[in-house]
Amino acid sequence: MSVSYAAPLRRAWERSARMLFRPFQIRTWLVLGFAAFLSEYLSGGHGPSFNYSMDRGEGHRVAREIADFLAYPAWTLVAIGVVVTIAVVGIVFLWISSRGRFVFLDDVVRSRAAIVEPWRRLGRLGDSLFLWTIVFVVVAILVALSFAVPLAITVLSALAGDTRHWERLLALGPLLGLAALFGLIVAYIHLFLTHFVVPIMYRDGIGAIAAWSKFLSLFGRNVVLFLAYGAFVLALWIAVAALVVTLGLMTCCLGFALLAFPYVGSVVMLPALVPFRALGPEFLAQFGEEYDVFGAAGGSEPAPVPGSPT
Amino acid sequence: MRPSAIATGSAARSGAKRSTAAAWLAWSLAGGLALAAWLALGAGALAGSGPTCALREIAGIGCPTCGMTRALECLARGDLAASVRQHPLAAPFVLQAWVAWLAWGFALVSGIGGLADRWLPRVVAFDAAALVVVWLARLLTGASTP
Repeated sequence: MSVSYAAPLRRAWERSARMLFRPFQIRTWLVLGFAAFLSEYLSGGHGPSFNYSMDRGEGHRVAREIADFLAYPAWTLVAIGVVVTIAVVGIVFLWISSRGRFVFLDDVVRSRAAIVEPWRRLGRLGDSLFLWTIVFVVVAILVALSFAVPLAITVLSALAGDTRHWERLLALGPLLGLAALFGLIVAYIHLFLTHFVVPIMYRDGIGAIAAWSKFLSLFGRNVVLFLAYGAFVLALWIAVAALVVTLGLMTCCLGFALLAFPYVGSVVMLPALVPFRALGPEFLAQFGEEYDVFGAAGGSEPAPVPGSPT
Repeated sequence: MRPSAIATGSAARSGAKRSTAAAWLAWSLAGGLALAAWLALGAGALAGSGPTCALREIAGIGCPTCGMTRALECLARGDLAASVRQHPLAAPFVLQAWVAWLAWGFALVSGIGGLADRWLPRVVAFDAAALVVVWLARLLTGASTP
């Protein structure tokens, strides 16, 4: 069995080109864009990021102001209410995006644009994915806190100007290394979940845990191939990001403004989102019929790619 | 006709009515928003504050759409000559948008579908090519936006 990275990409692109451009239909773009919005944008994967750096004095002032604010019980209740509301909204978005992932995958597999029918038919799978993701997020937060807290304490004591702060700074090294390793593991879990476990759930009609079990047995036999797949996808995303930045710069940044709009951004990004959605299943299909999502669903085949491995 | 067939036909008709009403609503909203934006531009809502060109700041050259916002402001105030000086394609783009909105309404009235599917890719490709041509002409002739 020979496993390729380029051939699945070519097949995924052919499938997307056929779906989006041959023929071009506005309805397909608008409906499929909504499916992509449910799947990708509500999961927070493409939301805007906010980076803010504080100097030492400003950090202490903010901490004092927060402490003063929370000293009043009424404001504490308000703060708790806000946090709970944000958490509830986040959980609702997560549920919607979990179901949306199967809607989008179903549309790509069947080369059609629909929302209501796959939402109902695949709801059980979406709910299973939602529950698994909730547990994963809680576990990830607990693990992150286990080294984030000592990391924060180390940094704060170093900033406090202790005469032996250089010793504490040395302690940052292993903690930062742990944090980086943790981040890498979480990123790979997210990648494998989206590109492989969700398609396996869809193909076999099984829950998240059973699908992970099936995937991990395959992963265990092909560790290097799947780890390299992660690097391959990262390189693709960098290329897409470079193209998006170029196009944005060529339009006085109005292109960026367009992408920032919810739903509008997902419609505009369909030529990237659809191939990425199809890439995982195309790669997985190389490992045998029992992993072939398109064949099992009776999804229409893309045009044969010259030179692709059989 | 069997009751299930009657129910199916009735559901299909009500679905079609909802779809048509939604389409007319979208058409009206699009026209209303565009008109509001046009009036705001004419009243100077963006005076002194439009998008800044990152390409000009980074590389010292304007991007293909540089001057478009100012051109639209001039056009909204009725100054075609100034609009053409800022960006020669602003007036044609506004005309295109207006024709597209009318064609959309015509399609809703006549029930003729597929107009947008046939024309939109061609118009987008033509407009993108025109933007690039104008941009290159400006770069080669040294004409930059005031």
